[in-house]
Amino acid sequence: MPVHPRTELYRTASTRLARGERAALATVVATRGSTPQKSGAALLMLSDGTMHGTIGGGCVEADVWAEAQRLMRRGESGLREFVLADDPDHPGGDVCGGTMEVFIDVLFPPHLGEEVVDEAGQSA
Amino acid sequence: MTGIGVARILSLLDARTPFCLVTVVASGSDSVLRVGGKIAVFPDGTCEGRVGSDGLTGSVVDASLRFLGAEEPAEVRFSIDGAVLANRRRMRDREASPDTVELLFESCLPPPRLVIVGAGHIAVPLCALGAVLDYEVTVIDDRARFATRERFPAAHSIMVDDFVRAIDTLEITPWTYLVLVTRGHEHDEATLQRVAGSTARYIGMIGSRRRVLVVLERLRRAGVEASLLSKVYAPIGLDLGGRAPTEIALAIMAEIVNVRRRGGAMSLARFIHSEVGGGGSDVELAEEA
Repeated sequence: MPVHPRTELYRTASTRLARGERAALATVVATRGSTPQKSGAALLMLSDGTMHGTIGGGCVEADVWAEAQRLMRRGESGLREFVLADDPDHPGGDVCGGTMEVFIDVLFPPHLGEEVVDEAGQSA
Repeated sequence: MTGIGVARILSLLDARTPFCLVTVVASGSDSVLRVGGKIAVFPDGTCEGRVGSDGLTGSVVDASLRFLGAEEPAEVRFSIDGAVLANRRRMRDREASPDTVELLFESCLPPPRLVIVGAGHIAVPLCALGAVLDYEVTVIDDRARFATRERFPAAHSIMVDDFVRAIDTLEITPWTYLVLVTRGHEHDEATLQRVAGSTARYIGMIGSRRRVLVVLERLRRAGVEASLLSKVYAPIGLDLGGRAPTEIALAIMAEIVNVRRRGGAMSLARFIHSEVGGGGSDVELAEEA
């Protein structure tokens, strides 16, 4: 029985949140230039570092993961811009080079509700 | 201001409830839902959760109904009292201005439905292709020996009934794709008359160019609006040049994907729309939601 493609990401997130973990769901909201994925692509990042889905693989996901970890620690969601650098290993290659606007949505365990957990010292 | 959580979103998706998921992605005000807060807006205009003021909520519902069915998410900026503002010029200006809020609208519709009216030789491969592409397939025919589980193992449901009566019992939604491939044009015509004004995302009708022109002209004279008829993909399918039933089924399924994903492939129907009285054009077809 077909289901909405996002369903499994929300199911995984929901299971992890119920265990008291945090998670971050990154969604591409806009792109400019050549990008590996377009608006609507989503990547779910769990606190143990595992990822589900894709927003374009490789280098951009590493950057998004780093930012997501920071946001998870601070307990806030945010809109971020990622510029896809040309791959230095393939000079002159047509390796994207576009810009992606990504919303990184930090998801909390249900008992934390809307509470924002503040960790002093974790600056942006 | 209250939002809905991940567990609630999951239960809506599992129940196949159509809704538009609205997420606050940037906010310059304390009087709206926090960044990351979400509400669900349903096709009847009701919602679960509130973004902010009554004015803002009203505008959010209007926008949600417009984006329901869109393939890609949309980002819209509002003032906190609900006026729609121009989007930021540059992505880099990511901080929302004071008293504005930026919302992401994502359409969460159930899986697309393919309704095949007529269980003949094209319906068999079409049902299989639809199922492979994750469409929920319904097959209708008034002949019990054609509309069988043996012929349509991948169908979600098989209806043996008069075509018009069967189509009248189906709920036709903006995620329904209708294919009229009955054994006789009088059945196609009668069914088309019932569904022409429906919210179906796609209606395709089989037939030669001459035959479909006759059917469309008869319906126009019977009072069906020309603007509705101009949205009918007839002759059905992309212009692949196929002849075998399997090839025609492929052309039909490819046309459905082309409509759903707003691709640029050429439909056979482009030949006739200039010929139907008051009808549309290729441009109108391409813009059809």
